[in-house]
Amino acid sequence: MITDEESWPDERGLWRDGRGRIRSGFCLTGSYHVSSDDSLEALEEAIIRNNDEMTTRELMYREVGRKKSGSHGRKRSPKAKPVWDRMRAEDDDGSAVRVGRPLIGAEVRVPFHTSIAQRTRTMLIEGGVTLAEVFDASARRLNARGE
Amino acid sequence: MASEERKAGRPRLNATRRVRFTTTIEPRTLAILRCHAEGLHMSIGQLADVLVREYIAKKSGEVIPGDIR
Repeated sequence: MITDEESWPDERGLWRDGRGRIRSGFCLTGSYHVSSDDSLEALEEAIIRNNDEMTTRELMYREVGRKKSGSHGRKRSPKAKPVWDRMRAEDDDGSAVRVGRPLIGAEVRVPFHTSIAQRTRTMLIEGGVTLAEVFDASARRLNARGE
Repeated sequence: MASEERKAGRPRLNATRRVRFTTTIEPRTLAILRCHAEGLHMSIGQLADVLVREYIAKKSGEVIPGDIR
C-alpha cells in the first residue's frame, strides 16, 4: 500500500514511487464506495470516505493503458530452440544420401581428395559402388574390430 | 597391380597412371582409415586400392589371398 505523497500519479496518470519507478501492480481487494459522479471533487471525497487509496489506484488501473505505459524492458527475440524432429536417431549412421539441411547430431561429410590406381577406378565404375561406400563399410568393420 | 603402386619422385614413362579421385567422407571415418593405413605403412590411396579390391571381391563372392582382414 502506497502511503507517501510521492506516490501520486503524474500528469500522464502513471503511478510512480518515491524513486521514480513506475508502479504496475495493483491489489484489487476489498469493497469500495464508488460514486457515480466522475468529477475530481467526488473522486477526492471517495478517497476520504474509503480511507484507502486503493479506490484511486483501481480507477487509475482501469484508465491507464497498461500496454502503452511504463517501460517494458528490452525486446528480445525468443531464444532459439533445437528442432527435435531433425535430430538424428540413435540407429541412424547419418551417412545416407539426403536432401536439404543435415540432421542435428549427424557428422558432416567433408570432401576428400586422394589418388587411386586407374584399375581401382575402373573396378568402382564396373561394380557400381562408390569409394565413399567402400570407406564407410571398411571403417565400420575396423571400428567393430576395435582398431 | 604392382606397377600401379605409388612411388616417390617423378612418374616413370609407361607406368600405369594413378588418377586423382574426389569423394566425401566423415572425419571420424577418415581418422580410422588414416590410422589403419599408418599401421600398414600405406597411404590412404594405396589403402583405397586394397579396400576396393576386397569390397568388390566380397560383393561378388570371391576370396582374395592377400586380404588385409
